[in-house]
Amino acid sequence: MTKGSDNRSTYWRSLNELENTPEFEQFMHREFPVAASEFPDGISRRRWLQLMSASLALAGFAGCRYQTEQFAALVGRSDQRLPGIPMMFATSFEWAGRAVHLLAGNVDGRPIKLEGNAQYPLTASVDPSPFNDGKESSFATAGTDAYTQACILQLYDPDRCDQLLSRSAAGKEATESNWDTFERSVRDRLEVIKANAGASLAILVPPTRSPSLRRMLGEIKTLFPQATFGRHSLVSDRHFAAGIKLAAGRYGEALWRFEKAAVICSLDSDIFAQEPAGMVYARQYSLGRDPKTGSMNRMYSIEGQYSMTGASADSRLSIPTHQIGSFAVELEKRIDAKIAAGAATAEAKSEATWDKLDAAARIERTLDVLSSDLVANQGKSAVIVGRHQPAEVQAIVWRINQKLGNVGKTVEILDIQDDQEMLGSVSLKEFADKLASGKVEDLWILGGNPVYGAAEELKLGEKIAAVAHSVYLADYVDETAAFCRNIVPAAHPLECWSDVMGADGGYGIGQPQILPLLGGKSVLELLAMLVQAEDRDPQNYVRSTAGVVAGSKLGDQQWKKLLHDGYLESVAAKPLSVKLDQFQGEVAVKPAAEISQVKDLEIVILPSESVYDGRFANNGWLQELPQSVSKLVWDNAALVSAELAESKRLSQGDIAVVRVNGRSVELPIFVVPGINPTTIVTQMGYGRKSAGRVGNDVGHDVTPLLTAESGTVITGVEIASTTRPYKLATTQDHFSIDQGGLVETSKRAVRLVREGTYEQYKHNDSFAEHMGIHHPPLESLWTPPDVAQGHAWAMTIDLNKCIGCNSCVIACQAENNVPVVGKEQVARGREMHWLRIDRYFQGDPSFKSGVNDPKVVFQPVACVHCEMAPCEQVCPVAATVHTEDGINAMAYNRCVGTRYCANNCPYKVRRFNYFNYNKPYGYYYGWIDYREDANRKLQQLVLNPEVTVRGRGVMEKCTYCIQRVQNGKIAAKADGRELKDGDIKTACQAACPSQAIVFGDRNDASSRVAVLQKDPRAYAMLEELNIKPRTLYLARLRNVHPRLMTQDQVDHATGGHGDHGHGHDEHGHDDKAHGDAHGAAEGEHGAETKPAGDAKPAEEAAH
Amino acid sequence: MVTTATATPTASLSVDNTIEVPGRRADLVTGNQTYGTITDMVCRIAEDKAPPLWLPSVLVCGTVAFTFISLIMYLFLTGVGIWGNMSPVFWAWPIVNFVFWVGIGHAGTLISAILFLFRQNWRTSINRAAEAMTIFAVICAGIFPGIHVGRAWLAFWLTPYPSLNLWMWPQFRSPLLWDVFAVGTYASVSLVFWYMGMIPDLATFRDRSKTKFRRMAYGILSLGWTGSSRHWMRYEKAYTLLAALAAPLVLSVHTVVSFDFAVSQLPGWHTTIFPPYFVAGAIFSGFAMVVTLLVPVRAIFQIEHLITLRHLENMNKIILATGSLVGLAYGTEFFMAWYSMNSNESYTFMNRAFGPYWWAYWTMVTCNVISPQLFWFKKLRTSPFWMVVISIFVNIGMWFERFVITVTSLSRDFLPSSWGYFRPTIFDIGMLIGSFGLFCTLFLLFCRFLPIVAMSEVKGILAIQKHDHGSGHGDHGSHH
Repeated sequence: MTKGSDNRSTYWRSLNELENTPEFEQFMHREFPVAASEFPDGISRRRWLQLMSASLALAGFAGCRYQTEQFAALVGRSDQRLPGIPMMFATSFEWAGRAVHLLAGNVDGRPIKLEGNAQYPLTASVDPSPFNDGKESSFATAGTDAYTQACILQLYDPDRCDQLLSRSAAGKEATESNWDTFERSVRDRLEVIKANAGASLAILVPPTRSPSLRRMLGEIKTLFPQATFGRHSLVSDRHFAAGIKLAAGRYGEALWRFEKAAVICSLDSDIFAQEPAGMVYARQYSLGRDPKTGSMNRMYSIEGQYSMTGASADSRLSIPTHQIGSFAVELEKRIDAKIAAGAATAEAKSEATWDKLDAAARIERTLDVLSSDLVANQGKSAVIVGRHQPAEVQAIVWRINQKLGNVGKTVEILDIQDDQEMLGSVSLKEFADKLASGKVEDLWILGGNPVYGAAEELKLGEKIAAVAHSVYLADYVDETAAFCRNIVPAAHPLECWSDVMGADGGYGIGQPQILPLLGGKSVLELLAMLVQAEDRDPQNYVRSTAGVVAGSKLGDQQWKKLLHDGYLESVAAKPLSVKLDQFQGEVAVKPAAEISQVKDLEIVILPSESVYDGRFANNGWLQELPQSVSKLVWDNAALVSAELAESKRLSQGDIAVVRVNGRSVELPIFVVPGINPTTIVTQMGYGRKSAGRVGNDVGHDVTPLLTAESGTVITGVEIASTTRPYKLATTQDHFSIDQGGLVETSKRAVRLVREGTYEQYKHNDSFAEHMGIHHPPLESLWTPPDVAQGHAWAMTIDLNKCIGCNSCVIACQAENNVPVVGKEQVARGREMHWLRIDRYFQGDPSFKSGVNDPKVVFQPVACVHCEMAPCEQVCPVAATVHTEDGINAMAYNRCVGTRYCANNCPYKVRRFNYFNYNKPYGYYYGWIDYREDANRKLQQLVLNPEVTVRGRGVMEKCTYCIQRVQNGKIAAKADGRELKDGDIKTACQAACPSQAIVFGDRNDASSRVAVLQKDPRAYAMLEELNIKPRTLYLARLRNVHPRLMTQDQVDHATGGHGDHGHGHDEHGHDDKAHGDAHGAAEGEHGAETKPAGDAKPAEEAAH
Repeated sequence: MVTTATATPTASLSVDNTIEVPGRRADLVTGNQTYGTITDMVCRIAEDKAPPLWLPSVLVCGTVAFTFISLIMYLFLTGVGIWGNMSPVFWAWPIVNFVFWVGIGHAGTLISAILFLFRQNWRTSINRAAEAMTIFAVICAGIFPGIHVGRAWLAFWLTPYPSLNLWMWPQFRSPLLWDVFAVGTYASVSLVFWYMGMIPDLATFRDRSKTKFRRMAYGILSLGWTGSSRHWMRYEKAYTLLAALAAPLVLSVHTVVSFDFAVSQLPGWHTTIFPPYFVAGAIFSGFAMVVTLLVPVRAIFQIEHLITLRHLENMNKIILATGSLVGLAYGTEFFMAWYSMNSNESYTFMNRAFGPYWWAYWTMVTCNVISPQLFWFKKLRTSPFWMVVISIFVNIGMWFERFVITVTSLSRDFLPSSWGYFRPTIFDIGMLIGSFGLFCTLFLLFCRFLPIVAMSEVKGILAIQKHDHGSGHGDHGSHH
């Protein structure tokens, strides 16, 4: 674009070039001669490689489009680089409103897999020590969230905006433009802007944590003091910012230290899913869930929705979301009283158990117990409130934390500047007003798609269209792009230089992994163009920012180290020493006794677990990701409780109309027990009209319910069914199945996902062993294989740590080339996820008896690699067989697809390719579903070359990431050493933020997995089938306060093994093999139900 | 094989050979048949002009059969996803159809082999048609597992052929492999048995042929049969040997098919009762299909004297007996589900009867257990109309039985998280109908071009009927 003309005189490639023909102009403009614009139409892998080498070669030729940095062509092999062997590069960027610190796995110039950067200080500070003591910390993982795992697919999304577009006037068709013209027009406008000191300039930015971007925006503000800055995000953190300002008198960011908290109280906060540092918090939380070391925190969740955090909580209380304030005020009163009265006790007295209480009594009991618990744990507790709660409520909760002495201990307020304050940004409403004033002639929208979801009364689109010179940095040609004059393709974070401030205020650097595939530009490059900076190299800019952050200019060595590490050491933000009790105001509250009387319906609009605020709508992986509690895919819905459904006559799957103040949306009904009967929960980000092939018209847009002033919790809602049916796709049977099935499910769930109370565990740590089906001694038809030699790969999944966040699911999908199949196919039960997270409701199976309090449990299930695998015995062609080290492997080439293995698999983890999900295919009448189509084209670029792409008619399933196992073995062999525990990490394990998944060699007695498999909590799901699974689960513990226990929990906690023990006695007597002594029977039992070599000495059995 | 060309005096149909007269065996064929009349009656079906219904029927059924083949082509082009099967119901209609058709295929060989060995002479009039039906049913059955596999073009990997590329055999522990052997053996033995038994009759056709083409065709098919004593002697020996060989296959094939289910560990499949239960069900459905086919066939081709009401009644009695066995098996399954105290097992059975597939279960019980009980009434079991109605009910019921076993067990197994509800697609339905089209086309062609009654064998029992009403153990055929 800029230097192109200069270069032409130096080099030429053909006569045409010299002649400067239009064809050549065209060719030059499109750096990738054929492919770039036609990207979607079938790029084969071979073509891809050509493209890659072409791009590298052209880059070496001093880019014709604009000055790029020099990516060296790989003509000579650099040190340590082996073709085909992934290289990891540290990088960091902003993603889905949070800072992510990553290692990008790059195969031959192509990033294909992201892992968390475990060395990042904040993450490293919460790495569990027990397994790092004296050992190399090769186990260190950071974990990521599902959005980040899916980031890779976004990179290869052919629907991303791939060219510079411009339109001459509002309403006209946007046509392909070129950078020269654009540059010229920017230069022209710059003169005007300079002349009026920026009065005609308005910049709309999404919230940013990038120090470079903040710095550059600051520079622009200095340059053009009259310019207007607007800040917009559909997922708003304004309540949080206002709340902390009320409480502390100034802005700061909260960094929680849940690992130091013995009692965590979440007031409608989905800590793991909605907090920007949720994944770090998950790690902190899981650190406090290790009963062996005696650290067992207790988490309370008080909420209207049913969140991931609510499911993880030890005690959950359901109240209307808009009454959280009332609850907080009541809580504070009691805490005050108890602090005043000295340490309070809430000892168990003889009173009705939790399950016998009505809603009002539950609130009362919870308030009583919770306040006592918090007061008893002053300085060791944490009370966190949802970010969508009003600022005053936030301030009250900060005050509570202050009174409890938590500030500075379990929570730090970091000295981080608010980007809105820094720039003096205005809200979207004020920004729209400014546009309407007609003074703005230059509008720069730096991403974020503000038109989608902006309140209708703002008429944002029309106002943007009225601006004569608008520039939009667009990820996609989306709803906002439709109104802008110039649409600039945005580079993906993996394509550009960037940086980000971590949750701890640390500094992470983002380096490009690949040249912009679709010719996009980063926001830094675009702003450099706006100000016509001398040095447009974003790398230099980021480097100088890093220097500013570090306090001195970075030398080459320091810069290299920064690039290598991905972060700057010891630059974390300092905690503020502020008092958080400066809020003196009042909020309108109801007394505790009246909270349960509220009948006013509310709707809570949450960021989607799949598409966030809509920005991932075109991401097939995320669209097909089952939402943690509802298990819905490819849709949002009005999630309602069974009571509400019954009282309003809403039936599952029917479309209902939700009305608030004359605004209305249509949403399908989906029943989720446990949601508060006054609450309707739904997700934003759906119903997009210009999202791309995958995301268009998926789900329903709920943003019309929002106004400029309203938060995302809206009261005064009416809901009525239209009785028009709508097809929803879920990966798990929904709640509305027949009564018999419901009863059976709840009966089985307690055996499959075993859980007990912490009290029970203290009494009998091996309670989980006895929760299965009592059965006669298991005998095999044939001699079991000898598994004591060599490696014996095994896995444990700690249900006490699993929070059901789904990142393992996407990690597995990315690692193993698992295809997306589309809503139709999911509705037919043909989703392909190798790893799924089962969700069960536990409690009274009717869930309708007025007791609206089921527990939700999660259980990740992938192939458990049975030693006596039932799938192997029935495969007629020996396509599924065991490897020597105990992996139940699939020989895809040999598979003919009888599907018998899948029928015989009791865990139903086998997935069948009903169609060729990697090629276009038609079903029913031969049409090709565009979603599958898009997926196919993406897949070819995003594929992991180490994993076979399965064709049609072949069975597939989890392989314990056999490619990683092999790589680990090869690396160890090449180094001439033994494999170490932790050398091999499966994709799910690496992605797990709470380190619930552990993989390793069971034959290595010191390995982490071997230790965990001998844990008294370990059990094999469906052990009674004698199939000896290699994946064991560790039973979940609920650290419920004795006064909040159900009758069932009380019985188990005090009676120990209760009738289980009785059954066991019988068992021992019936069978001679079990010997006479009870203790001996115990040992035997352990030996036979768990894989060999696992027998617990009889005297250890705490029976 | 001397035949007289005299026209047969048509006896009145009112002769009722279903009446039991103490001390006297009922006639197996009626109407004062002679060798000549029998030959005439059977041969003219192939020689005379076809009955008016035949051609339209062939056209209709042929079209359906062609559709079936087209659907299979489409399946090969796209993938097995066109069917409704899914996770967890990985096997659905195609496998249901397979088991259904294999079951139908039981009657023929049972009638020709086992009843032959037990010297049940009434078999002679019906064995040929029943065997033909068996062959066609097994063809239909064989298609389904073949096209059901995900990569049908590699289905031959299930056979143990020496492969130089691979150096491996199939996996012999898999019941599917046993299935290949069992069904393959059954199909080939049945085919040989059927064909060999037809040779004397084909020779009769050849001898009566008036056109060169027919003479050639039947000549080749009859393998130079002359009817010499030596031919007869060898024929009889071979027939007996093949019957002895085929008899255990009748039991083995459905036993092995039942292993597909019983050997797995799925609740509802994993039960030891399956082999006898499947065999009883197979005979039940096979006989029902024979009745369904023969009632119209004997009317259309006017062979009521050869296939008499007594034959039909006997078959209906077997239907009654096997139907009751099947009912007993249903009861036993429930008892075992309770008695075993296996909670998965008991839930599976409760779910069958009262879960989301209750309609399939109760259709099955109504058709299989209740409807054959009507055969206790002689009036119903000797009424061609009612027996067709009931036998069709039985076949519907038996299809549903396989549906219930396959689909309901799979739909809810161990982990409730993976439960699902199967819905068929139009391809499932189309292929089931298509297989009936293929079956009917083949059967119609058979009726027209091949001897539908084993003339030589009927003549054999004619001799017994004439010479020795009382003893009934005559070494039939050898007198001639």
